[in-house]
Amino acid sequence: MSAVEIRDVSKTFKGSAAETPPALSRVSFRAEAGQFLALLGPSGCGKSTLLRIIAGLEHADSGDVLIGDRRVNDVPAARRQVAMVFQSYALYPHLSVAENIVFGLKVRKVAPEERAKRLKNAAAMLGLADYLERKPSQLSGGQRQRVALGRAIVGQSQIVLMDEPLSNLDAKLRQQMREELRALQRELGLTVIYVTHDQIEAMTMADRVVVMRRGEIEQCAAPVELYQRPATTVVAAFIGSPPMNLLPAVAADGAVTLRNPEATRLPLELAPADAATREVLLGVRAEHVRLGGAGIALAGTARSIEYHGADTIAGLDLGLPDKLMARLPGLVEIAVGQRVEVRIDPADIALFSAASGRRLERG
Amino acid sequence: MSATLPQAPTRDADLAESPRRRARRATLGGWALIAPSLAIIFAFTLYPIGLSVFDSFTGQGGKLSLEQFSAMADDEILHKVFRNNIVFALFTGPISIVIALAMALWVNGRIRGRGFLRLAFFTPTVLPMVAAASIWLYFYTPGYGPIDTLMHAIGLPGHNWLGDPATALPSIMVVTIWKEAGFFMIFYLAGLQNMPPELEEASMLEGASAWYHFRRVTLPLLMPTTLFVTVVAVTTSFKQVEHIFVMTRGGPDNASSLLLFYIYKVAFTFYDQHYAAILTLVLVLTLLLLAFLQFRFLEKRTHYQ
Repeated sequence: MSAVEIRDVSKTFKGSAAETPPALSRVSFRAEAGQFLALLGPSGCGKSTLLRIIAGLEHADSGDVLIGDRRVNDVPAARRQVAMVFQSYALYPHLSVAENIVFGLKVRKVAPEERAKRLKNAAAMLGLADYLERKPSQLSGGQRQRVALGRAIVGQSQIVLMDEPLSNLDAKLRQQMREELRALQRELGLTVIYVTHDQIEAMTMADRVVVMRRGEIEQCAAPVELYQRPATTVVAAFIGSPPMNLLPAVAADGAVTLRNPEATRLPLELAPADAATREVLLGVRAEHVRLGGAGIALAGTARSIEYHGADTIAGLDLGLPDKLMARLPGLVEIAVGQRVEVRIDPADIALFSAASGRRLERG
Repeated sequence: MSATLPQAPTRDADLAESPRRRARRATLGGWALIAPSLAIIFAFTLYPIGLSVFDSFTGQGGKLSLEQFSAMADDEILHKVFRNNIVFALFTGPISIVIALAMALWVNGRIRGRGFLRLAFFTPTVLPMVAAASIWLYFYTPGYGPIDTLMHAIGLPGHNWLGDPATALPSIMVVTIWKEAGFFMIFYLAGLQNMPPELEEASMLEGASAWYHFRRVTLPLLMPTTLFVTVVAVTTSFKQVEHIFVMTRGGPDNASSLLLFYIYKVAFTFYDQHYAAILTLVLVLTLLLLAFLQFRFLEKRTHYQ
């Protein structure tokens, strides 16, 4: 009923510059009913535009928007039965919390008793019962956020669009609201499309994450897959902290040779389809770089050591343009400038094409 | 305790001053700094005000009396001029405000030629009133002015707009509205541009019509602007004088005379300084009272962000 699907949507804003790059080019994805889908990407990647196209606040140049499997391209925003939470919350400053929440119900001429009932429910659910008579200016950021949520759920739309709703909150509150938002979404069975540039929000809350860059989808997958099998170097470098190490290497004759001074040879073979690629990037997560055990040995000089409590992040100079970041468990006694040998299990290595950034299948 | 505490160094005379003396010197310094401004304000603002108030209570012989008040009560022309001014304020204020808001809403939208329209609406404001009055004097010219020409073209008889007691004041009001609306538009435009666009989008998603959003959101949020503009409109309507000079000189038979113009006539045509003084006092008190009432009435409905 409340699935949302985007098919081949393109959009170019007509700017003053003659060569305006498209805001969105042929974007497609589907959010199933009751799913929490995050649109993740750096600012300017088109994620907000996409959300506004789903809401009906912008129109796509081409492509279709489907809500509940019905094409809604020509349905006005008001009749798409979607609610939206804006980044700025868009609360009416002259109305009280209660009036803000029931604004849409009044517009839609819902009976006063029903209005009061729904207001009471929403207020109880969001812990706003004591603030109903206040004006938005008398509320804290977190409370305003709740009012915006209240306005979104009181209309009983099954689809809620959220545009960076937590970005104006401080870190602690954001963590708390992440949990509450997710609980609320599950409780009400909402389909949520959630725009964010914060990978932690996307990874912790979403069932599926759509990673976007420059108006195109890089990957659409569940958070686990996104982290373990990034489809492109963009995703690999965007997800995870520190991001995945990407080391330049050459693939030839059933092996990959790293471009470090020692020219370390790794017995990695590419699948037949990708066998022609020579320039590759070798991707390895920081936690897969270990101090001992089995695997291929790499030697480097420690350039940075950060102790994080549960682990230590070490940056090693292998003679390559970028440092190799290693997440080592616990407190590790390494001094800056010290020569260190680390090991990487070939099974943990992903290969990408240096030219296109695409993931290469291993043979 | 040690008996070898270091001797306090002998301080120089300036530092030896008691705190009280130092404070007094600072106060004197402050007064010295504001003295020039104070002298000017006193000589050119406070003293003349006092003098006018004193003049108001002085009779012909120079003695204190209330005879000016009885003169006001008997002055038929004053009553007429006062009525004129109230009509003038009641029409020019609200009409120019409504037009200003409409124009602001229009040029705030995404329309073609927006910059040109904004300029066109604002042009009357930058014109000096005397120039505007001269233009309209030409428009109203009986027989061959544009308005009469237009009326002849559609088969209507011409009209002496400024010469007929029935149309003289309305004709003057049209000029005022034409001139003020563009000025007020700027304030409304600023108010509209300060409004986050998400508010309208939120309303749109909730299914509110443009009219509903305007009535329930835009208009209430523009209340601070409306309050300000109303006060300015009322004040201006009691201060209008230039275009009356140019267009009608208050005539015919004081039909288009307003309070300030009448005060000018009393002071500089009839040379009755005492009477002019009390009329001025009445004008200022009227304006203060009106501003106070407007704030009292509108403040409650005003939401400041």
